[in-house]
Amino acid sequence: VAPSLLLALAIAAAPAPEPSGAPPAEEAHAERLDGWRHAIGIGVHSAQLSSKEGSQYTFHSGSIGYLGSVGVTGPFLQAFFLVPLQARQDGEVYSTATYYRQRRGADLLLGAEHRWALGPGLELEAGPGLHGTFIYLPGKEGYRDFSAFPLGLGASGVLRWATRAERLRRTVTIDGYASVAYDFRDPLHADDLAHGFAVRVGVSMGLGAVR
Amino acid sequence: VTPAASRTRGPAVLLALALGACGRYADLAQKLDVTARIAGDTWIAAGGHDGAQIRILLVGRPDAHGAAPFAFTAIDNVSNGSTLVSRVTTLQGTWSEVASGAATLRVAHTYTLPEEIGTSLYSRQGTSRDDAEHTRRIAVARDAGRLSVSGDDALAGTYVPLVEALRALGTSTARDATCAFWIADLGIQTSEARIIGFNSPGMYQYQQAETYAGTIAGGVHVSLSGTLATTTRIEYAGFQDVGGVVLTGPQVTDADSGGSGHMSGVLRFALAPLPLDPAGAATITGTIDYGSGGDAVQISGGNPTGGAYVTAIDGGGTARVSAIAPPAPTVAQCLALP
Repeated sequence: VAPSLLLALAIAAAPAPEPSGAPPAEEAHAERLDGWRHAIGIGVHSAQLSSKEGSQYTFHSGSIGYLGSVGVTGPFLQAFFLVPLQARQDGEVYSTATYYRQRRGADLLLGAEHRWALGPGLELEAGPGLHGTFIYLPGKEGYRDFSAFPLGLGASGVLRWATRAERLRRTVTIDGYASVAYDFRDPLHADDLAHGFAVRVGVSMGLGAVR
Repeated sequence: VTPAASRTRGPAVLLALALGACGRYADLAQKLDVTARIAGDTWIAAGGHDGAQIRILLVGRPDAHGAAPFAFTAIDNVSNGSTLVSRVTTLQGTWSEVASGAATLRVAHTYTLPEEIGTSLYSRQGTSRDDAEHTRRIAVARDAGRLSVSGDDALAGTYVPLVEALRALGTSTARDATCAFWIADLGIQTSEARIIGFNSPGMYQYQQAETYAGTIAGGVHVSLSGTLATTTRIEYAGFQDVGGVVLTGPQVTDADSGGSGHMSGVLRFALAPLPLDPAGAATITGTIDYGSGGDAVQISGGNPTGGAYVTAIDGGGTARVSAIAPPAPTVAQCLALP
C-alpha cells in the first residue's frame, strides 16, 4: 500500500510543470510509448476454485493495488490487496463478514508486456505472466478457518488515456485494466485443487510518459 | 493417550506455519462443533473381518415420532512396526426403529480421521466432517441383553452394553492398568475424530481456542500456541463421549516445525461399570501420564515413535503402555466382547 499511497500523494501534490513546446509527431509518439508506468488501481476481483473433492468455491473481493511496467516491451508487475466480501460454495452464498473475523487476500501478476499506441493520448499494454492469489479467512469463534493459495498463468491488459495534466514531469493517465488467470497448483492444498480461474477489473490513475 | 492423538499434535505443530491450510479445502462457514448431546445407552462390539475394529454405538431416547439421536464410531489401531495410529469414523444422526426390527439411520454428519502414517505432515487431511445427509438401513434384534445389528457391514455386530462389559475389568495388575488405558483411550479417540483438523496442519485453526461438547457430558477444550514451534493443548473436562468412561485433564504436545517433539500432561480417567449389586458400585479411577520422566511419548514427523503412556489405577496396578505397539491385550479381550 505504501508505494501506492506515495504515488497518489505525489500526483496530488506535485506542482504542474511549465508548458513545453510540442516535439515532432513521430518522435514524440515513440518516446511516449517508452519508459516507466506507475499507477494505483481500485476494482473488483473474482476467483473461482474447483476442488478435487468436487466442490466449487467463488470469492468476490474488493481490491486496491499497484500496476507498474517499463519499456515498450518489458516486465510488468501488478500487486493487489483483496478484501473478500462474498463467498460461495456449491450454490450457497455466504457474507464473509458474518463468519470470518478477518478478511484478507492478495493477487499478484508478474510478467512481460508490450505497448501499442492506439491514437493520440491512448495506449494499450498487454502481456502474459505468472499469477497467484492468496485468500485467508480466519473464522469467528466456533467456525473453521479457510485459506487458499492458487497459482497459475495469467494475462493482463491496461488501456491508458493521457490527460492534459502533468505531475513529476510526467503525463497523468487515467486507465482501465483487466486480467484473467488460470490456476492449477495450490502449494497449501496440493491434494485438492483441480483448477481455478481469476478475473480482475478496475480503473487506475497513474503517471505515464515523460512530457 | 491415544497414539493418534500424539500424532495429530505433531502435525498440528508443523502446520502452524502453513496458515492452517494443508490438506483439502475447508468448507465455507463450517461450524466446528455440531454435536448434539445424547442421553441414552452405549453399546460396544468387536467388528471387522478379524474382530479388531471396535464399534461403539450410542442410542438416545426416541422422540414422539420414534426417532432417537444416535452416534456410531468405528475405531481401528494401525501399526507399521515403528508407530501406532488410529483410523476412526463417526456417524451422527437419528435412529428410527420399527417393531419388526428394521431400523433406518438418517446420518447428518460423517466424521473421518484417516490413517496417514505415510503421508507427509503438510499433505495430511486430518479429521474432517462431511455434512451431506444420507440414509442407511439395518436390522436389529435384542436378546439376552445384547443388540445384534446386521444388514450393513460397517455397523454389523453383536453389541453389549458398555457399562456391563466394564465389569470384566480388574484393578490390581499391570494387565488391568493396560486395559484401563485402552478403554479410556476409546473416549480420546472418539474426541479426536470430532476435532476438525486433528492430525493435520488444520490444527493451526486452534490458535483461536475451541471447545467441543462431549456427546454425553462435559467437553474438550482445544488450543494451540506458537507458530513454528507450537504447543497444542487438548484439555478434557468431565468429557464423556462413551457412556461409563469419563476423562478429565490435559494432553499437551510440544513440537517443532517438522512435527517432532514430545507429549506431557496427566489425564484422569473414571470407568464406571454397572454393578450387579447396587451396593457394590466400584468406579475404576486412575491416571495416564503422557510425559513421565524418560518415558515421555516421543513424536517424530507427526507420528509417535517412542515412549509410553504410564497408566496407574488408583490403589491398584500400574502399566507402561507402549506408544508404538499394538494393543495387547486388545479392547475386545479386556472386555470379553463376544
